[in-house]
Amino acid sequence: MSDDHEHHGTIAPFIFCIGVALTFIGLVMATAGGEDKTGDTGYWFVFFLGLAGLLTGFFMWVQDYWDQDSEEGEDIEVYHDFWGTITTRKFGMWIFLLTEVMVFSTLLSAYLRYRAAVPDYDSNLAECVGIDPCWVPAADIIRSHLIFGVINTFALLLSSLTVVLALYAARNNNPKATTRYLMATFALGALFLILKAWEWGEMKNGHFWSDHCDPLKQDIANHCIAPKYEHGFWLDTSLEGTTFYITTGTHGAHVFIGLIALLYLIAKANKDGYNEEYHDTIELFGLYWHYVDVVWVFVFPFFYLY
Amino acid sequence: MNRKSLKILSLGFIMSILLAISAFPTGDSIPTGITDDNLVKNGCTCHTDGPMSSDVVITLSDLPEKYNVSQVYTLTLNISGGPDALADGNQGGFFIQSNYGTLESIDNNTWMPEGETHLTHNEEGNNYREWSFNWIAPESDSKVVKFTVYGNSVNGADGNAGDYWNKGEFSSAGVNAKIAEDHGELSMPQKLIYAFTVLVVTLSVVVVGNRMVVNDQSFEDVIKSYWKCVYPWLTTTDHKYIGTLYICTGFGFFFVGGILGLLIRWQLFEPRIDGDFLTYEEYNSTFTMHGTTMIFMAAMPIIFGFANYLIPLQIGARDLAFPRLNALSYWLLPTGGFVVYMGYFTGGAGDVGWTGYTPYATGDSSTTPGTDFWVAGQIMLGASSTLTAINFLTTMLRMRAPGVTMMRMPLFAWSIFVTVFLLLLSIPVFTVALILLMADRTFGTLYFDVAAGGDPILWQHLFWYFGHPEVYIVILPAFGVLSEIISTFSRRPIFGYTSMVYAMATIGIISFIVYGHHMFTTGADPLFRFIVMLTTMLVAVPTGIKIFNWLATMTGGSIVLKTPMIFALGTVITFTIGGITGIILASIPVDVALHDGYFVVAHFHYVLVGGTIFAFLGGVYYWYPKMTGKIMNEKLGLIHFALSFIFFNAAFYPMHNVGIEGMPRRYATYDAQFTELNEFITIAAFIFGFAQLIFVYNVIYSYKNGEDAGNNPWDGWSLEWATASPPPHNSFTEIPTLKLAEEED
Ligand code: HEM
Ligand SMILES: [Cu+2]
Repeated sequence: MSDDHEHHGTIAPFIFCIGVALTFIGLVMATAGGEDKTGDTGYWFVFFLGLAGLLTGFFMWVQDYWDQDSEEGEDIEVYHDFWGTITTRKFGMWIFLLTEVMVFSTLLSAYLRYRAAVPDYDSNLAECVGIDPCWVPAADIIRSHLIFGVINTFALLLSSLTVVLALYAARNNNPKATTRYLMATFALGALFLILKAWEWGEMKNGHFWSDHCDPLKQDIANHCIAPKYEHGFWLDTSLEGTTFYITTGTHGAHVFIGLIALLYLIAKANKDGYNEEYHDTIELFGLYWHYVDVVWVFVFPFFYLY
Repeated sequence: MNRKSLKILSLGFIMSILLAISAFPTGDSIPTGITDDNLVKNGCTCHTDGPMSSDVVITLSDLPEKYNVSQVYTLTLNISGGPDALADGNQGGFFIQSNYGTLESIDNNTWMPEGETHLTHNEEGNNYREWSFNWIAPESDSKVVKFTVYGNSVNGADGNAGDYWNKGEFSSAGVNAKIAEDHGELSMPQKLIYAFTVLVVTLSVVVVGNRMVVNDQSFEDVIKSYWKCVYPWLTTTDHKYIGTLYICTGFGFFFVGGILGLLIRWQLFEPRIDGDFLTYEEYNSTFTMHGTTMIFMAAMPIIFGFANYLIPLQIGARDLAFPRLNALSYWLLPTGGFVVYMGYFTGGAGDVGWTGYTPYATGDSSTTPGTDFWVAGQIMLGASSTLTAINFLTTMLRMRAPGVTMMRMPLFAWSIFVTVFLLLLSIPVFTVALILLMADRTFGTLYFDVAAGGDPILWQHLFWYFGHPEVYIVILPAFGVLSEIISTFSRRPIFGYTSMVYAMATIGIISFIVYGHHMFTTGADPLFRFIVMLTTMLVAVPTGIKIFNWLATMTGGSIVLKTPMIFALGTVITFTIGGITGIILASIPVDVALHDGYFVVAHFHYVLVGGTIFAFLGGVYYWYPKMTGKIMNEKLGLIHFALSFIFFNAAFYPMHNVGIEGMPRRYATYDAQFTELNEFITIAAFIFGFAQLIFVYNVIYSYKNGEDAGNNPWDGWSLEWATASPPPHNSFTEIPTLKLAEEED
C-alpha cells in the first residue's frame, strides 16, 4: 500500500515560479525602471527570458501527464460521503471555480460602482456635453456592429455544447468523434478570439465624433457618440474604456487559456484516445469552459447591450 | 521526458538565469522616450543622412538646476559651430522635447506640431541659430526632467551637403527629486540588504572552497554533492518537506521584517529631520516593506507551514489532495518575495504602505519602480495563497481518514478550515485589485484616476474587503494552536468543543461585513458606518466565547507548565488586550480621533505579535519534537518567553498612550513632547528583537543536543501524535481509523 501514492518529485513548479518572477521583473524594469523611471527597454530581454522559463516549467509539468495512460493517476480513497461520488480532482475544480467567481465579481462590481454613480450620456445630454463624468457606454460604440458580439455569444454557447458532446463520445468509446468535437470546440473558441480582436481594433482606431456632429445629440448611426471618443476608444481614453477592455480582456484571457488546454486535450486524444474509463480531464475542462461561458453571459449584456 | 533530460533542462535554465543576471546592468535606456519616429518628424529630417558632428555645440540657457513646481521658464536654445551660413539663406533648425512639463512656443519662429509634445522651428525659424520658448515645469516636485535636443547647423545651400547636426541633453530636477548623484548613496535598508547578499555569497564561497581544500574535491564534485542535497528540496511535493520549507522561509522573512521594524524604531528614537537617519522617503519604504513582509511573507507562510505539516497528519491523510500544486504554492512565495524586495536593488523599495492606498499608489509620488515591484510580487503571493486555499479545502473535505468526521477534527484543523474558506473568498479580490492597480500604473488604465472620474476609495473597499478577513486569516490558526496546546497541557479535552467550532465559523462570516471599520474617516455613508460599527462589536461575542472556553478548560484541568503552555498563557493575555482595543476602535467617534495614530499601531501589534506570533512560537515549541524527534531546551525556552513577553509589552503598551495623546502613524518624525516614551519604546523593541536570537539558537542547538522526544512527548490526543517523530515518508504506513474512547476496537 505504501508505494502507490509514491511522491514523484518535480522541478517544474520551481522553474515555473522563477520564470514568473523574471517575467515580472522584466516587465517592471522595462516599463518603470531606468534612471528616470520611464522604462529601460533593455529589460524586455529579461521579460522574454522569464516567459521562456514559465513555459519550460509549464511543459515539464504537462509532460508527466502526457506520458501516462491517463491523467487521473489513482484517485484518493474517500471515506466520507461528501458530494457523492465525484472525484477529488473534480472537487478541486469546483473550488477553483469559486475563486474565479470572486475574480469576475470584483471586476463587475468595480464596473457597476462607476456605472451607478455616473449619469448616462444620452439620458442627460444637455448637462453633460463634453464633460467627463458622463457615462458613454461601450455599448453605444459597439451597436453598429453588434453582429460580431452576437456571433461570438453563439459561438461560445455552441462550444459548450460541443464539449459535452466530446465527453459523451468519449464515454461511448468513440475516440474519432471525441477528437472531432474537441476540434470543433477549439475552432469556436478561436473564432471568438479572432472576432474579439477585430472588434477591439475597430473600437480602438475608430473615430466616434467629428465636426458635423450635433453636440446635443447622440447619433449612433452617424458615429456621433461622444467628443471624448474623437480619436477612438481605448483603455486609457476613459473609465468606460478601462472597464470595458479590462473586463472583456480578462474574459478573453480565460478563453485563451482554455484554448491552450484544448490543444493538449486534442493532442492527447489523438495519441491515446479518451474512452469509457479515461475521460475525467475532458469533464474537468468542460467545467471550466462552461464557467467561461457563464461569465460571458454576464459580460455580454453588461457591456454590449446596456 | 526522462529524469536526465529534465535535469539538463533545468540546469540549462538556471544557467540562462545567471546569464541574465549578469546582463542586468547593461540594458541601455532611451532616456526621454524619443523614438526614431520623432526624429523623422523633427527639423533634422532632411539632414539626417549627414554625420552627427561634434563641431556643432548646443546650449540651453536659463534652465534652472532645480525647478519650482508649475513655474514658467523662458529658455533659450543656441547652436554654434558647423558651417558658415549664406548671408540670406537658412541657418539652422532644432528639435526639443522634455519628458515632463510642457513646452510652449512664444513667437513666430517655433511651433509645436499638432498632437505632439516637442517644439521645432518653422519656415521663419529656419533663419536663426537661436530660439526662445517657454517651458512650464511639472506639477510634481519629485521629477527629474530631461530635455533632448537636436540642433542642425546648415549652410543654406540646397541639399544636405555641408550641413551638420548634433544632439544635446539637459536636465532639471524638482526640489524633492532623487537625482542621479543620489544613487551613489545607499539607504540604510539597502545597505543591510546588500550586506546580507554579500554575506551569503561570501559564506557560500568559503564553505565550498573549504570543502574543496579539506576533502580535496574538485569544484564540480562539491557542487554536485550540494546539488544532491538541494535538489530534493527543489523538487519535493511531500507535505512535510514543503511545510518545513514554508516555516523556514516564514521565519527567515520574520527576521528580515524584524530588522526593518527596528530601523523604524531607531528612526523614531528621537524627533528626526529628513535624512538624519533615514530620509523621509526611505522611512516610507521601510514601514511599507515591514508591514508587507510581516503579514504576507512571515505570518501567512508560518501558518501555511504548520498547516502543511500538520493537517494531513491530523486528519489521517497521506498528503494534500494536489501535492504538485502545493509545491507551486510554495515556490511562488520566495520568488514573489524576491520580486517585492527587488525595489531595494533598483533605487528604493515600494513606499505606499502595506495597504497601498490610491491615489498615492497610482500617483506621481511613487516614482521608483519599487512600488511596481511591490504590486507584482504581491500578485504572485496572492496567487500562491489562492492555490493553497483550494488545496486545503479539497483535502479537508475529501481526505479525512475513516472515523474523522468534521466534528471530530482537532481544533487546529478546524481553524485552518475556516481560514482557507476566508482566503478563498477574499484573496482573489485583492489579487484582482492589484492587477487593476498594475494596469493603472503600467498600461495607463484609469480605474483609480481621479481626473478621469475614477474613485480612489474604490481601492479601499476592495482592499479592506480582503484586508479584514485577512487579519482573521492570521489570527484563527493561532486560535487553533492555542486550543491544542491548552487542552494538551491542561490534561483535559477542550471545554465546549462545539461552541469553539461555531465561534470560529461565526467570526469567519462576520469578518466579511465589518471591513468598513477601516474606513470610518473616508466620508462613507453614515448608515454603512453604523452597521459596520455594530457588526464589528459583535465579533467580540464569539471571540469572548473562545477566551472563556480556554479559561474553562484550564479551570478543571491539572496544568503542566512547559514552554508551549507558557507561551499559550501569555498569548491569551496579550491577545485579549488587543481584542479590547479593537472594540474601542470600533466605536465611530473614538476611531475618528484615533484613526491613523499610534493607538491603532498598538492595537494591531497586540493582536498580530501578541496573538499570532506568540501562539506560533508556542506552536514551534509544541510541534518541534514531532518534526525533528527532539525536544527543545526548556531553560532557553523560558528565558525566550520571559524576555519576549516583558519587552513586547514594554514596547507596545506605551504606544496606546502616545496614540491617545495624538501621535500619528506613518510619519518619520514627531512632536518633541513624545520623545521620552518613544525612547523607551525603541529600547524595549531592540531587546525584544534580540530576545528572538535566543529562539534561533535554541532551534539549532536542540536539533543536535535536544532530548529524544519519542512519538508523543506531551501525551497529546490528536492523530499527529500517533505516528513516529519525525513522521515516515508517507506520513502513515497505514491509514488510521479514529475511534471514540468508548468504541469497541
Ligand atoms: C476583537 C476583534 C477586533 C476588532 C473589534 C478590531 C477592530 C479594529 C478596528 C476598528 C481597526 C481600525 C482602526 C483604524 O484604522 O482607525 C482595526 C485595525 C487593525 N486591526 Fe483590528 N480588530 C480586531 C481584531 C484584530 C485581529 C485579530 C487582527 C490581526 C491578527 C487585527 C489586525 C488589525 C490591523 C492590522 C489593523 C490596522 C490596519 C491598518 O490600517 O494598517 N485586528 N481593528
Ligand atoms: Cu478590521
